[in-house]
Amino acid sequence: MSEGGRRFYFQRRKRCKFCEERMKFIDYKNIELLQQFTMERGKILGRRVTGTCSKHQRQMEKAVKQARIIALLPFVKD
Amino acid sequence: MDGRIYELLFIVPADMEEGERQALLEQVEKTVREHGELHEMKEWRKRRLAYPIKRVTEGIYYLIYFSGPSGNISRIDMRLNQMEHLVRHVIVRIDEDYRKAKLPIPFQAKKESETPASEEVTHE
Repeated sequence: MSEGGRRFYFQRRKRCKFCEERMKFIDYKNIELLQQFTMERGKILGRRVTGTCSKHQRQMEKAVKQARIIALLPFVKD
Repeated sequence: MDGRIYELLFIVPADMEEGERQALLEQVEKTVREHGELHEMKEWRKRRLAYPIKRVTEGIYYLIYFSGPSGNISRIDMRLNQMEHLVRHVIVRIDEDYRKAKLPIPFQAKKESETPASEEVTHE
């Protein structure tokens, strides 16, 4: 959106939560954690929103999808 | 035992009769034992399902850790699929992921912590 353009506000750099906590494995049963990376409706949040690194984003997506299969997380919530 | 360690998570309807539920659990346990080595079986949690499956809205999750030859997994899967009252199940291979993350395999961690003081906090 405002990429490249010089703005006067300063945005705090987002960092990957999983890297910070040195989490090497994301469990699909860890619902509370995964919920932080999904929207209220159940959509998975993008990397640009949460600041997750690509490696952990992939793992997190997989975990969310596994959790959906076993009904721990919704596919869609209305 | 031989290599692969798996995790089986399955849902049983919460409103199921006690006797019926026990029978189903036994059936699942038997199936796993027939095709591999069962390490641990426990009730994980009772939870409202994120969406209804087979008209069930609330279920009890059970967790099984077992190992066995990979060729048997599809057989277990098939047998579980045939169980009418079993709402849903997933089998996930966990040995590699846990090893890479240097996390203790859950049921083994428990054995080791029988000499206590080192309560492992696995993220659940």
